[in-house]
Amino acid sequence: MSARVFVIDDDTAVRDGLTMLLEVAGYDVVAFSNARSFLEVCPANCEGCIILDVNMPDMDGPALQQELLQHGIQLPIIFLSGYGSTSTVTRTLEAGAMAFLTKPVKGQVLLEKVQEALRRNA
Amino acid sequence: MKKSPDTKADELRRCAEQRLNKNPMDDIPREESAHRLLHELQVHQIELEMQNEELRLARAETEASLEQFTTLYDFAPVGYFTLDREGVIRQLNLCGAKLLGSERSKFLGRNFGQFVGSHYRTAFNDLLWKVFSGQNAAGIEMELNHSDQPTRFIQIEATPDTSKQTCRMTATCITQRKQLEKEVLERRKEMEILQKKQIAAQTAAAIAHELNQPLLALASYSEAALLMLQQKNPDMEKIHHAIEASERQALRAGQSIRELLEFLRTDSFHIEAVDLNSEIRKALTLASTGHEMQFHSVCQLDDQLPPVHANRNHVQKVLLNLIHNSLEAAQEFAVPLPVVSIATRTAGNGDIAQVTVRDNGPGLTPDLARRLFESFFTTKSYGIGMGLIISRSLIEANGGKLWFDSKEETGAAFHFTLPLSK
Repeated sequence: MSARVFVIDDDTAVRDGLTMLLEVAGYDVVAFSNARSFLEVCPANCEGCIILDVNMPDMDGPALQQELLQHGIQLPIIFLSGYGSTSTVTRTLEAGAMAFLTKPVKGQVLLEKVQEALRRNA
Repeated sequence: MKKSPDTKADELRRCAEQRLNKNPMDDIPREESAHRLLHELQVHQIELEMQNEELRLARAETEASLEQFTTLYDFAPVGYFTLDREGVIRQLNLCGAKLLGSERSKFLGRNFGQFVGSHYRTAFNDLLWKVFSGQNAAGIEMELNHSDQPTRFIQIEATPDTSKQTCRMTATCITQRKQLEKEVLERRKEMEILQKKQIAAQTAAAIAHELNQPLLALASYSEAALLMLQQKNPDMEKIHHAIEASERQALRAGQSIRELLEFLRTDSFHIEAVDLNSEIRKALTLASTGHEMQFHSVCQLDDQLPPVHANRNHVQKVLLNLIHNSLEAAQEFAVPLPVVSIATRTAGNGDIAQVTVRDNGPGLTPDLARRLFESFFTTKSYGIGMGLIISRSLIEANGGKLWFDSKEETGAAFHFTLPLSK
């Protein structure tokens, strides 16, 4: 069974594009348009990694990261942000994020990070 | 009431007689005429003594009063000057001398205008002229100019005295107040610059967000297509789909830039008197023809609202943006009959107009409301959002404010203000 990547982003086109790229690269992709719907289905023994948008309405990326930590869910997180403020980058990386990438990101770079994340999680 | 001199003399005589009667001179021989003369002399003597005593008392009183008024004049905490028609100092108190920076004797006979800062001389001469020509002269603020003294600011008031040959002038030191005012002004300028920088940063972040979303999608589709082309039996249909999607995202980015430029275009920043109510009616008509959604509009417009001082295009863009926002929120939450209510009224101290645009959607949670103007933030799944931050920039550029308030039961309400035309 191929490794699973969760894509959480409120932009339809971004979700669709990332899903296609990751599927072509051989991953099993599950996409969510917001953090809460992901939380509802994510079990504690979830495996894989998360590609997470920073700026989302309601619960944003860093808030979801905190929520997961509190639930003891240790999925590696790759943050994607349109404009990373230094404080957000520091805060998320200190909280254990795998990487913080700026949109738009080169597909190869993202795939390498995903590979690294999954290897680390294995 | 004053006693007439006669009555006073009569009374003096009566008092003197009374005193004499208390001490009759028994040892003097009682020869009638001599006795009478003596009596007269004694009465006169006592009268004189009494007058003398009265004078002494009056003098002491006058001296005390003079001292009191001298003290009041000299040590008053404001400068007092007596100036003649040419502005020459005829009299001044100690505080006045201190304001001018030296001893009193150095200023007597000199023209007050010499000590007035060059920029204020005309205003000072004008004040003197007004005072002596009997016109109402309001007090003026001016800078004192004295070579070896730090700059001083004073406020002067003057009134002519009865002779109309001199005037009395007070001078109050307002240097400290002026310095504070200057500091406040500087702080305010710093704040405004900071605020502008913050808004510029937020607007830039908004633009970055608006462009980076389609760019990321485009990069992902392209990379996916490239990967598929490297596969042994590439799925041409899927590659086709990826390239088509890339094209759509490139166009989406272009559209965003066009919308942004359209929104920010200020052909010329022309400020005029704008009738808000008529702009609101125009915007509602435009929105109902330009939007595929049916909606009901409720206007509570103040007919007495004076025109505002603003750029007509900006007002139109902000109104359209707020109406579209309301309608899109209604669409998002599937409100059966969207209602957009717009109200106008005068606010502040009657010098600004306030517009409120309200929808009948579910409103926003406090958390959403807090983040509404944060960097670039939208609750919509596609585009928009940028409109709000730019609307706020436009309103602020026109001297107003734009803010949001949400009460769960009444939907979301956006307010903005604009200065009234004077």
